[in-house]
Amino acid sequence: MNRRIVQLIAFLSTNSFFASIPRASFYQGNLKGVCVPVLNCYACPLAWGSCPIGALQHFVIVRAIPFYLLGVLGLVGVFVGRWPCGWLCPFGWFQEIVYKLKLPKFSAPDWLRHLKFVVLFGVVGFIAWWTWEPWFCKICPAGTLGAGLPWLWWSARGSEYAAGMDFGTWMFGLKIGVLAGLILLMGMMKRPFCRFICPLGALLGLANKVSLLQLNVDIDSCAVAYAKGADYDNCATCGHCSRFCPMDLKVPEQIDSIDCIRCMNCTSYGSPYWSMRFKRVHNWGSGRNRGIEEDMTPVP
Amino acid sequence: MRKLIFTVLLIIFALAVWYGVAAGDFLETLSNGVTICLTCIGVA
Repeated sequence: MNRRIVQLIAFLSTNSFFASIPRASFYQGNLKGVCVPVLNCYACPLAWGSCPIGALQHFVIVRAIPFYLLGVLGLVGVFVGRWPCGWLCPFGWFQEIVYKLKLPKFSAPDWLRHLKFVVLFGVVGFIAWWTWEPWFCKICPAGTLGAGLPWLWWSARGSEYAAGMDFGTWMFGLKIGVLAGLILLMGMMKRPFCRFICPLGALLGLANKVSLLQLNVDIDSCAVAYAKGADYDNCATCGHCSRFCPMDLKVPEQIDSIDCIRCMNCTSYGSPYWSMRFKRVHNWGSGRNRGIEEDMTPVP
Repeated sequence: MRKLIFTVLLIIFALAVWYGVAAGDFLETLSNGVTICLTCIGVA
């Protein structure tokens, strides 16, 4: 199925409480106890579920182990790894849309990928524990976009739920600044939030190595490599499949990376001859490829 | 080996979900998230 359609369905599935709009309210029912496996702010007026990072910080603050939350994320991870990032996350989708803007494009140093673990353990973990405040939520750009700005509107409409909220503070200015800065980055590089900041992506990515869903590549069957008389090294430097990776990974060397969001773009748009395919291994056994799925005729 | 790791993790995480729900984590998420999130986005 087309990934954009799945992203749209996922967005509407988790954010369709349209009754909040006429009432300037938000959903507070039992579904809020369900943590969605993507970054989707609890306070978003349309949201049905909870953000796992917001929930995680809450448990850190109250000094409790979030068994339920970690169990849910763990189950998602062991089955599909970071797949929700590529197919379900509304903020990831937003970044891909913004990237289409006609702005200069840049790459970022690879070491920046480690920054999201600093965010996960440092901000979501330590700082929340130390300050008793969910500091990641306070500046989360997904929260600002999905909740902060709508609540600014709710406040202007005189919503009872927004009573006491002050949008003229330096904190709100900081939230807007962070969001604006990130949107600019999103226009110039691929998924910067997902690659460098998202603590949920960091968590789910850890499961990529052991998840049931794995990607393999049949190097020997790549018609591009065949046409050029290439060996594996040349395949790695061909760069054609890498062009389509929204996480700017080097394909195929990094398909097992914790940053792979399993979007399958490399399997759909890779080799122009459409004969280099990634086999989705469901029974991964030794993890080696099972051979080409189809016999594709090279396109001249 | 990976099948073993997968199976062990599956059991661990399934037990974690079961225990967490039994211990009240679901209700904790449901009821306290409101305070957390409105406080944050409302810069209160």
